[in-house]
Amino acid sequence: MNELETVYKKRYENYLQPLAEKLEKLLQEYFSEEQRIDRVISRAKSVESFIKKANRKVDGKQNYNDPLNQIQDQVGSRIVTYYLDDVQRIEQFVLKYFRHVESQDVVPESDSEFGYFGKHLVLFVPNELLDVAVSTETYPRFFELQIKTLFQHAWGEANHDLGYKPPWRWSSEDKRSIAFASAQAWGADMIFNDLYKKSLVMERN
Amino acid sequence: MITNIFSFLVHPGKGLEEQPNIGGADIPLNGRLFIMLEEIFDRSEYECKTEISFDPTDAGQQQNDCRDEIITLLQQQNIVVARRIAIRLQSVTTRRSGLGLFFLIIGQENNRQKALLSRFPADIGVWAEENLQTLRVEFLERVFMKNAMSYKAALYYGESFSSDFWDGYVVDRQLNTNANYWIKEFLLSDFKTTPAAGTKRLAEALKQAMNSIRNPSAKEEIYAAARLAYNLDGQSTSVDAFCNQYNFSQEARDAILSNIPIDSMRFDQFVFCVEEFQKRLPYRSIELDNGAVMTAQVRDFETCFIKEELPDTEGEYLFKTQGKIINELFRKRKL
Repeated sequence: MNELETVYKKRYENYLQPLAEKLEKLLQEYFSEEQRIDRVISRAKSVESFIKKANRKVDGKQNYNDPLNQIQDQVGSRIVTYYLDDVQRIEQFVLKYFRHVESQDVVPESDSEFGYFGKHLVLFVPNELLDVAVSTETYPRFFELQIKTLFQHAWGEANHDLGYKPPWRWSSEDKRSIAFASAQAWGADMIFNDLYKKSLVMERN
Repeated sequence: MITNIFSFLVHPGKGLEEQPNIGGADIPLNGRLFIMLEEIFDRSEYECKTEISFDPTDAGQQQNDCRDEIITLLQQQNIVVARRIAIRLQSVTTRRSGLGLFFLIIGQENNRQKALLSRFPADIGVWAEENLQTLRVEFLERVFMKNAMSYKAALYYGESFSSDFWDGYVVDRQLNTNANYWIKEFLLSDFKTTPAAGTKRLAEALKQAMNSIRNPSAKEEIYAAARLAYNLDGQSTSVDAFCNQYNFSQEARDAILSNIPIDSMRFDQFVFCVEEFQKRLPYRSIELDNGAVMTAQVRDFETCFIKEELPDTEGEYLFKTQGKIINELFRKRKL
């Protein structure tokens, strides 16, 4: 185990896991009266995932030179909702209570590709969740919040499970199948969102 | 330890198409001025209590021009970069805010890089020189005073330029006025506590305090403050400032502050949001020993129920209300 792994493991056990639990509780409390929330979950990034990300290279260079401070999703939360139009509503609700430094729609690089879709926010960890007995240097300052539809969530979970495990490489056809599943999820989101909007109009009439 | 101090005379420049260049000075790290600035630098962590954070870009990206300039200043420590920050301040300074003397003090403490940006407002004064038999007095037009109401400062510190310096601390004695251009326009920042989060915290502390204390007069104080709070919409406050503003008794104050999750959070500044306050504290209820319960919206309770103290009783009241019956319910719980 290298030094980074040792430090992160200690942080993970002592601070990140309890912080993720407190954050989940806080977010669930905030969203208890909001409509069409399927689930609110939080997790601390596992030691394995952190080390993998910390060692990631871009164009042959280390992507992070100070991963303990630079990786902002050491604690991550996810809010899963029903329809695409709910994503913006939930984002606005989140930004009423949390200060953010980033808000991005994560989409595939090319318009003709299918893959990962989701709204990602980087938010300050609220002060009330910080343990006063612990130095702020030990705590992450930010956490990542993802807002996803049920279909985005379902595709993301399966893709993560399949993509992170194998020691082999998926074939081109396998990759196309994964993209096809994403396109199906994207289509389902569009259809349900349209039906939801139609239901609102019919309800008014 | 201070490593560099730069100073600029900043004129009002808001609305000008082109900002005039500003002459500046590299202040020597010795002498009486240095001693005064060193004291301000050392005390800044106690003085600058209001937490702020930089805004992302309009497109939601993790970048902020003012943060970039402060980091470049810390990295390069030269007057050219300091001047860019001074010109930014000039470009948002109105005539009403007037002339200011701007200091950028940079230093290091342990492994932390630290930057203090402070603006001394211009004032008028009288200079007096006493000789053995005479006194010579002169009118001075440009006197810069730290104790004036419009003194402002912003403090940033951190170790990593890539991940730190997203938040900082300010002192701004004009937070409640439109002059808070210092935070929004100059620093491209906002209070770290959002209006809804700060108001929720205050409302919950008031609610828990009301439910926990027994003394009727302390309860009355909290209710009166909650009712008056509806007039605070859009104003900057903190839980501590709120307690001072409504002059709570020690009992009521202690009950409110004991319901703030971390003591230092009572100083967190936020903009009061009446919508959130109403959402968190919508109703007031009074229960009598005869089994009656009266409930009405906090802001309307006193117009719904007229309260009269009954003479020759031990704290008994007569409540009167008038209106049309619009509903009648069986309830499982009294309150």
